[in-house]
Amino acid sequence: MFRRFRVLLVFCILLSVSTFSQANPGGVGDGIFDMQCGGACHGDSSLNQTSSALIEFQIEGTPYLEQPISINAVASGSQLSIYDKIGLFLLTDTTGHSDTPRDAGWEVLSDSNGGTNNYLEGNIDVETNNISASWTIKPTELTTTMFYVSIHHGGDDVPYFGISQGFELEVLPIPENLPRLAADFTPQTSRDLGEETIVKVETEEVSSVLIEWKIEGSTTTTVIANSSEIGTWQFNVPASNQPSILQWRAILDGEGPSQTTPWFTLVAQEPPFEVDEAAVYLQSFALFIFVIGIVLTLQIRYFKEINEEKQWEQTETIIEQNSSNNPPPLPNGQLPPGWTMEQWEWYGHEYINEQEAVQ
Amino acid sequence: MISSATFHVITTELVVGSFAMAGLCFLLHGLCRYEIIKSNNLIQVTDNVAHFALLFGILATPFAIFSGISASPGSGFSTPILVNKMFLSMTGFGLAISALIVRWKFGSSILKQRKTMLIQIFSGMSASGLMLLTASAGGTFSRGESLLDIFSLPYESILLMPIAISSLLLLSGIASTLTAILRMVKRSSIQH
Repeated sequence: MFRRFRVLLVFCILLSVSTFSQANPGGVGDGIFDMQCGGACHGDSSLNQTSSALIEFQIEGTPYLEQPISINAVASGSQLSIYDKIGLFLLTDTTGHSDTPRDAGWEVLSDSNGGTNNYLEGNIDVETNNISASWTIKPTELTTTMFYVSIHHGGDDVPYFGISQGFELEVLPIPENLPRLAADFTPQTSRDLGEETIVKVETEEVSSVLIEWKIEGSTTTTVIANSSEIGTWQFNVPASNQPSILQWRAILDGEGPSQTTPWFTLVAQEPPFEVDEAAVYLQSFALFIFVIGIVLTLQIRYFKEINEEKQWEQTETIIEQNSSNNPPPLPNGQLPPGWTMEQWEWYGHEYINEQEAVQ
Repeated sequence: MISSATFHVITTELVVGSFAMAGLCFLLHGLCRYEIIKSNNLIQVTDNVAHFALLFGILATPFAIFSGISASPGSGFSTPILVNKMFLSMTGFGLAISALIVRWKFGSSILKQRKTMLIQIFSGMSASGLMLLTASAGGTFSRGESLLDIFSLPYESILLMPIAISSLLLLSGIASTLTAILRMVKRSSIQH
């Protein structure tokens, strides 16, 4: 019993080894995480060491209430591995909790990976030897916020953490007649491959909209957006046959001073794979138990007992030999004094021989 | 301490090595039984090695699964390859366990009768093949290439049954497994 418990204990310890590991080199995927990633990015955040990466970021646009601005961050340093995932955060606090832009009254409209997350993962650009990320965000309340960009990465099996200097942003009220995006405008951040996209822009106090768009590595194209209804504009983006990132911005003209929006990101990607996880787990377990049942049933059905000769089993032979013992005749028809019949059957011959030797 | 990814590589190598050894021994055993290879010693050796390697592979499999989940990016089944890996490994795991249970309960005489020997060898070799396919799918997922790419295996396609059909399969599997175990226990108690 103790032996089985010991084996079980060893197995439990070995199983725990992987979860005690300090880092997740494969990353955890983009998401909305606080500074310590809830312990998810690195197995144990208390084991983090300080990263020597240099983090720089700049802000484009004026932070008017409900109007987007963009934050572009670049991290570089010899410590960054070209093989493992690197994570960049946009944070509003350094306490480690309740520090996402949303917690401070900001909404992430788009990120450079085609989502709306504050934590982005990527690999280092081998040409520039750095990693960059950008977020387009808008304030939802009049507030003053300190922004930070943080980095999580690994190296030599050690998890590293670093954070930039803070940058304070004060949200301003919207001036009268300012040409601007509608407060509830949410840009499209992704599209499927091979489909032409009509991008809609909702505005206020705007009489005309000029759109500039560019794809990584190409020149900027300028188009005039068409007005489909009052305050709504649209322009066409050609289909992309391979994963790519398109950036666009709008130049808004009206009675007030002309305004240029930050760059918005539109990612062309394969449609994300979606599957019902419960169905997968159920089918997996069903296959597992079904094949066990099938094999056991077939084997029981076809197996026939074989009476094998047991090589070392000699009991029956000995019993047979014993049963054939022929005890000698009793001297004078009586047992010697102190003898039993069973003793006589076994040792009677020896008694007779001893008596004959004495005579 | 080592990272999940490194631990996953270690454990998958153990699993793949063990199952490959088991599969080869099952094959050799079958060839010996059909007297294509004539060696009495090999019969006993391949029987022992095949089942021991199978047992070792089964013991290493949970470590590979847990470390793989820990090391994979994101969460859940983000690509069809991961779904196929799950199906292949669980089916192979079931076949391997059933082969070991049969060998344990019926002894070496299971390999002395033609039909049961064929079923046993089929179970063992199929378990090995499915585990090797799982490893190949893992290579395709992490590195984009694998040795078995020459067969152009459809890792991107999945055969996902409706939950109702899976439930039926599960129920019939549980019923047949329980029945088989009860019959084995009954047979065992009669013998004693």
